[in-house]
Amino acid sequence: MASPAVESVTLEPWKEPGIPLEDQYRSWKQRVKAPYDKHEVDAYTRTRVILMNGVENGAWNFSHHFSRSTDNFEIRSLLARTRMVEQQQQTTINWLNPADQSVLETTIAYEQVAIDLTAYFARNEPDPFVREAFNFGLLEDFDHLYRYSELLDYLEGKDPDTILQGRTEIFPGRPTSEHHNDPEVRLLRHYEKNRALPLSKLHTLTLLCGEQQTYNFYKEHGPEYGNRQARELYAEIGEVEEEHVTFYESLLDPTETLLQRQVQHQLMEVYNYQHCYAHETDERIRLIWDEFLHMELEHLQLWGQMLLKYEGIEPEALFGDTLTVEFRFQENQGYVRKVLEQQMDLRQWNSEWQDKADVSSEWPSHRYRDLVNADGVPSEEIVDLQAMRQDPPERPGDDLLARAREAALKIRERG
Amino acid sequence: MHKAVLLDKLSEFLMVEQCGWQLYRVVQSRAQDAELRERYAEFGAETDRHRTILIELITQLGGDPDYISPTARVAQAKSEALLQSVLVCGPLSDKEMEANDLENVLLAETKDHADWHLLSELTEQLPKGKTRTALENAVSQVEPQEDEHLEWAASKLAALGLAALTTEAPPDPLRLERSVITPGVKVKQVHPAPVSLRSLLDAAKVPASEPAPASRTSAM
Ligand SMILES: [Fe+2]
Ligand SMILES: [Fe+2]
Ligand SMILES: [Fe+2]
Ligand SMILES: [Fe+2]
Ligand SMILES: [Fe+2]
Repeated sequence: MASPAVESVTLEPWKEPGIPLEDQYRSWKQRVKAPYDKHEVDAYTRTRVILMNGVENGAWNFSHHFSRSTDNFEIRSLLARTRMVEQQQQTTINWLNPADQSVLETTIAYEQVAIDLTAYFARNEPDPFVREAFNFGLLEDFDHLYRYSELLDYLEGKDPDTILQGRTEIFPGRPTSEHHNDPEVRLLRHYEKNRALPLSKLHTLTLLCGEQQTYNFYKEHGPEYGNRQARELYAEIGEVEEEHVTFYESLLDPTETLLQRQVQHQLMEVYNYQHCYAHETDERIRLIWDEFLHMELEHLQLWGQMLLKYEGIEPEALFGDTLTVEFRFQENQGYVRKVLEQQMDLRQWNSEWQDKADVSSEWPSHRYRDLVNADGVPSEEIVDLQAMRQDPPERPGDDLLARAREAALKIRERG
Repeated sequence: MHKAVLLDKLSEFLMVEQCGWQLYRVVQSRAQDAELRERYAEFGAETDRHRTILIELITQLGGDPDYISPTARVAQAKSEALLQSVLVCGPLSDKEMEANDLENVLLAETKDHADWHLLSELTEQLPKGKTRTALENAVSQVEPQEDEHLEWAASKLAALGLAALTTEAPPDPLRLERSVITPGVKVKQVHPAPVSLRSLLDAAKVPASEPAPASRTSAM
């Protein structure tokens, strides 16, 4: 597995010139661009589209929350104006997805985003506790990819690897049937806003937006399938994404003010557009990332000024003078295997991790799990349905899926 | 004097009493010290009475006690922020919580005291008449109690603080770690199989987990 050389870019985000806010609105025709071709697109171009849609939805969502909580006209006005842009950017990005890409195919790509984003962040995360939180979530989304891959084969007869393009492995992780927890169990200790490195804050907020978008996507599109197995699997994994949102958001310092969070969202947008721009191979789409990056620099600087005006803090003091962006979508197969080997059997409780053999009978998730899994587990049933199929393994990708299935059945047997 | 200005102020003062009463309710319910509980109950009841007196005063002056002025909204937001402070951060020991609650009472009573002091000064300047009589009546009932509320809160807080500093056992050293990721937390204490730095394959360069300096804003 050849890893491309690391190219990190360092920006001066508080100084770099952006596009003036009054020049950021776009016409309908400018906004809606031709979609990518699902047969031609690079897997990581697709993941960038999915990630940035989530990032924009996150910025939009938070801006509304902020607006509902302030009576300052200057702030509400800037929120309304920057939010209108976020919303237009979101349209441009999400409309890049083609109509002939099925919900399930897109779902495969959503889990690819989750895996290669979380894995890279974990590898770069400076805080060891936050890193382990990422590793824990990683193994769950990794398993989701396998379960959905079975469903894609079962329902549409398609090879999930046409979406993944060999970059991300299809293999069972920590079984989805064990991702279901008493909700309180997911709560972690949080970073301290004065001490956490800006990179930890950016990682956490990016992942949070990604998970929130994944939740929305599964809950919105799950019922579009008529097949009962599909409807149930979306319901099951959709709930795990709810747990992931609870999990990652509990890492944020609750004393961060709304204005500080608003600046953080804009910085996080700059961070993510920067790596999209730096690594995009589709020249047409790269121009979009470039334009949006410069819109975000303007948002960031305007919000930084608000922070100074109303809270007396230079944004540099909270987030640093420079921003180094090292992330890129790339293969993390070796890393994921390593984490899987070491951490598959972990469980979480009281903001700590334990080996499942050491988990006490008092663990509240026992009860929750018994309850939700009482009359069948969709993420296990899809494996059985596939295992019982009589047709000869002749479609491309079937051997890979068969190998994964064998492992999944073994894991279940082992208990 | 414009009556509208006075009524806006009175609306604010009424809100201060209203929020003071809410504050007493909350802190009384979690105080452990017997004197605190007793005093909170007593002063809470007096604050409730002040609320009634202000409602009567506003009505006598031809105002609407249901009217909420802009500065009343600020007073409410500020008072609610006092209670919010322990909702956004923690955890405090029982003693710290108790002291923090009392400190909030002191802050609230400082404002409350200033309100009634202002009304008493105003009363002295007013010409004889219905307004002056109504104000005099209210001030004479409330002002002495406000003196007592403020003085007690200040001296009790000082006593609690002194006792804490001189006699209290050191807090549980792990209490911050249970809710906050502290720079000293050793991941091995909370994780049976942490991923070691060495296994972070080379493509991603981990910025060494050096402890971050606390961010402090610089002078312009
Ligand atoms: Fe944006
Ligand atoms: Fe997932
Ligand atoms: Fe997830
Ligand atoms: Fe933005
Ligand atoms: Fe009082």
